[in-house]
Amino acid sequence: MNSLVVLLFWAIIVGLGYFVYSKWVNQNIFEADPNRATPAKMYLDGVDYMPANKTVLFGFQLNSIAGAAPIIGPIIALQWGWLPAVLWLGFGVLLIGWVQDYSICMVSVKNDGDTLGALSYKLISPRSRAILLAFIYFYLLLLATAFGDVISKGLSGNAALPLPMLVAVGTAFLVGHLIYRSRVNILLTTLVAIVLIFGGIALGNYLPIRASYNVMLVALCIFAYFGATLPVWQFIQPYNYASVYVTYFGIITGIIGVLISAKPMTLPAVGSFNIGLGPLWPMMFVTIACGAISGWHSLVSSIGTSRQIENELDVRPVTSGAMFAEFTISVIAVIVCATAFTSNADYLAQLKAAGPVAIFTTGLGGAITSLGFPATFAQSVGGAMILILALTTINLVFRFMKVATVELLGGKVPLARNQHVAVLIAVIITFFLIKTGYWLYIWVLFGGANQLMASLALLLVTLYLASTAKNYRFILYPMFFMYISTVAAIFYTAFFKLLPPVFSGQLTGVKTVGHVLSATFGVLLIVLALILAYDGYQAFKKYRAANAALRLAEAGKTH
Amino acid sequence: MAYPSPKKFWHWLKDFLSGFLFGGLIRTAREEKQGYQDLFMVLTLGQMLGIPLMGNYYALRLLPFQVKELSAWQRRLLRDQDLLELFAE
Repeated sequence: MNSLVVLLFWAIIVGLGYFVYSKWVNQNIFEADPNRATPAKMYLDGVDYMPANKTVLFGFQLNSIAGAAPIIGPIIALQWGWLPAVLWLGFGVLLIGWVQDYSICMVSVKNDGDTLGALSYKLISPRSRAILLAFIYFYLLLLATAFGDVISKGLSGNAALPLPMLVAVGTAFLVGHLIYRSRVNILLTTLVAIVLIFGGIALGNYLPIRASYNVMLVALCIFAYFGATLPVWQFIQPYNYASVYVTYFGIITGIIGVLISAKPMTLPAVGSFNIGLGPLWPMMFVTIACGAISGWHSLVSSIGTSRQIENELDVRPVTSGAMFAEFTISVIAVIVCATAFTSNADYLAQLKAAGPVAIFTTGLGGAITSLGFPATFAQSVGGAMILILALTTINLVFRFMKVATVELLGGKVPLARNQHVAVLIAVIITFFLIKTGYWLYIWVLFGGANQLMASLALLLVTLYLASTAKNYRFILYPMFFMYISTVAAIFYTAFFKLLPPVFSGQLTGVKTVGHVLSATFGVLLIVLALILAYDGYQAFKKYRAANAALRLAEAGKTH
Repeated sequence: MAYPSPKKFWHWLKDFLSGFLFGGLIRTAREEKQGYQDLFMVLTLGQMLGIPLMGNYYALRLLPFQVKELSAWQRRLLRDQDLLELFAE
């Protein structure tokens, strides 16, 4: 089938979702009112609460939600066939994805810009805030493990990539210094950064750096340590800024390449129902998170964005607009990879041997080559793009884990209050899990923690709507679907994939520990999810009873 | 349906790119500035937060310059901070 058919499906989903469904929800359920004061206007403080233009905010939101996950997830899920992946991306974003991003932002805007934690505390129960923090901690730990493995494998598997990465890191320090200390013009700084980074990518093929997986992993841990301890302006922020140019150069040239070459999809539309990872349901629904629905977005929407919204009418273009844009990135990732391989066996062999980075490198490389760029350069752009993106996530993860470790352990272990000790604890746990765990299962557990966060966000919105006596059904059923699928996926991974090899004696040494540890994380996630469901149901009953009493009182008044 | 004019599109693109590319950089700069500003306010007007400081005379001389900032500063420093706010960076 020609890849342009998939693009037609994309256009229909975006048209229906953005211009029809989201408009209807905005007007009829949340009743967005341009005259109601938003938190940004009420609590204006110059940093957190700060009204921003909707287009500026849309750009910021898109940049915050789109990382490497909307690309890696669909690539792994291609094993079930590209059709299920595209269908889930489309219907997921249409019925659940944008609904979550938009409605959690709206709930936060209507509640003084409260974060997801504060909302859980208010709407569900005090302990649900702690459960959310636990979801986030697991999510980040598993994310760091999955991405740490992907990066180390990508760097050790392709000798052309380490140099571009080193240059990108060096450029980030330079950019930070030029912008924040030397106050050099931003356009000039950007130009220097682009020349350096793309120069690095081009040179990578001529100056290959070969190192083993372990060396790369240790290098990554050192990088993570510095990323988490240096001031934000010195490294993380300029790195994120400089990395955008590589990422979007890749995405834009990829889109143009796909449109120009209009290749047929060479991978099978429907692969096997049951692959190494597990059956299509529930596994695919946690493997592809970003692009369809992701709990991460609810964090971004309820923290940064809701405090900068100038007007309630802006919530829809900013949040659901960014979600549909991310969906676009995922669809492109599916098309580039499904058109790049000659056969399914070729794809599977590459995935097994070199991981999703290699798949994406080949796929995007093919699309960029069709624009006339040299093949080696095009492939390096694909590889560097995904690694640079993954490193931005690693930066954020360890910074958060540092603070979380200080908060969680600081009270009991005074030493853990030291930021260097806190980072080291996070780095050591991650290193241990990377060395002992099996990354595909870790990816599923990470997806599980992420989707549980999404279920929590959907539950919060349901409860908010129930407490205000509005129609909550359009969000209740997606919540059930996400919750059941996610718990089932984690259960399946823990009890059918991780533990059986341990008990049958197939594994030895550290691998046993890794599997048991991963399975324990899975079980913990399930227990937390069950507690959350119980608390959520109690809260729901309370709101429904309150509404019934109110209706009764109103009926009494009229008679 | 009104078609967007090239001028409007150009404005849209400029706004989008400024948020997409520079949003994070601007936020970091603002946070750093705010950090210094907050520190200065605590050192000079810390009494208002219950910190027993000695230099009341100088604080009063500085007060007119800082009146505008006072309410936002107090709210920022005294409100409940959530661990999740790290994600806003």
